[in-house]
Amino acid sequence: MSRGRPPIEVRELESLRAELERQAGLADTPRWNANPEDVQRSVARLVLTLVEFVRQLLERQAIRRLEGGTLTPDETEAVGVALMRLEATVRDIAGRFGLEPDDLNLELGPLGRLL
Amino acid sequence: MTAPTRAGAREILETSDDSLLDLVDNLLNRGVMISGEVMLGLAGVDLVYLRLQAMLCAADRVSRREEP
Amino acid sequence: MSRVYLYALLSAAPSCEAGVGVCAERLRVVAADGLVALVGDVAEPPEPTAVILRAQDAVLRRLALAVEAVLPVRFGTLVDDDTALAESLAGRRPQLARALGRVAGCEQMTLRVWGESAPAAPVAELDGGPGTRYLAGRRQAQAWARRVPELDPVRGQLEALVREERAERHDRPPLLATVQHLIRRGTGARYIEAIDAARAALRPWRVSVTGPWPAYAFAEDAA
Repeated sequence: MSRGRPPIEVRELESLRAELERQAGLADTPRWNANPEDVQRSVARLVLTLVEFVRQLLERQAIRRLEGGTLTPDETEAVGVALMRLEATVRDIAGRFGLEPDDLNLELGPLGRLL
Repeated sequence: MTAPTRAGAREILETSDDSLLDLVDNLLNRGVMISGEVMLGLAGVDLVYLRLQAMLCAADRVSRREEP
Repeated sequence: MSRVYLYALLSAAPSCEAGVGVCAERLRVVAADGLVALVGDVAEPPEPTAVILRAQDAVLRRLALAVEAVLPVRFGTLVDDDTALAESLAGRRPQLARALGRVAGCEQMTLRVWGESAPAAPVAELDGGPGTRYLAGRRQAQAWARRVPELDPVRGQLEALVREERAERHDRPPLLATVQHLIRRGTGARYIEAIDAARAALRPWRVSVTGPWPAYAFAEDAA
């Protein structure tokens, strides 16, 4: 296998490793388990993850429609406002449970992370 | 039926070989996605094994159908 | 009880013996929903160790010598049996056939872009009401996530070699972006020469290259 010279630096290697840890679901069998100490937070995390997933789906489709020119100006404004509010809502509720954006995720084994 | 495990998989990231890291990236993050799984549980007890087809994750790649 | 471990989708059944897989199991070819799949029957799910990952990569490289198009499947993909395989692939034939056409006779080079700070994302003037501006801003952000202007100095030289690109910004210094380039099999050396020749022009950003690889990153349609 060919390599591009020069070899990568140690810092760069660390950075790549960290990125892969983030992305490649390398945990044991992915689990969601409600922490009995804080069931509410566990449930909130799962629910918000799924909502965020749907929000991203909706956003992608809206952008696709925008680029395809199949949204009227009124529709663009209405969808944009709705997405903006949805994003703010997820952020606010997450914040109330002490959840950061990075916390909203779900490991799915071979499929990697949901978000 | 038991779900596949990935015990000790993190070891593979302990390498100075960037080509090996790219191998990990290619095999674990890319390629055709067929199914995923997650175990749902309470109080540390696994209760429900959920298996998902690619529908859920590869959302923008699967929902190719444009609105009329 | 064994399960079916999926390695790749192929443009056709290989003309020669498929050999053995990562668990030393005999590889076999399954026709499912008009597609050809390379599978092995395994008792245990393979663990992602260096040895096994290299072995899986080796299977794909070996098949590429006998088959025009090899579309790698994500590591760890198990289904119960051949029927379950057909069900999993059901309805995806058009996208998968398209992907097979895309990677036929091709391989992949992986480029990482390194630097202390990412180039600033362009912020265009946005018109309209708050919702319109929000959506336009999200569209810009989405487009920016796939742009790698750091490579502009070398794009001219790469144009003749690169069939398709998949790019992803990380913007977590020093790792700024990852770019996968689809090239015709056998042009890897020329690709690396082009990158090497452009290293000075690419400053302040550094670039590292690995490959050629099987076309792992080209299984999906472009985002």
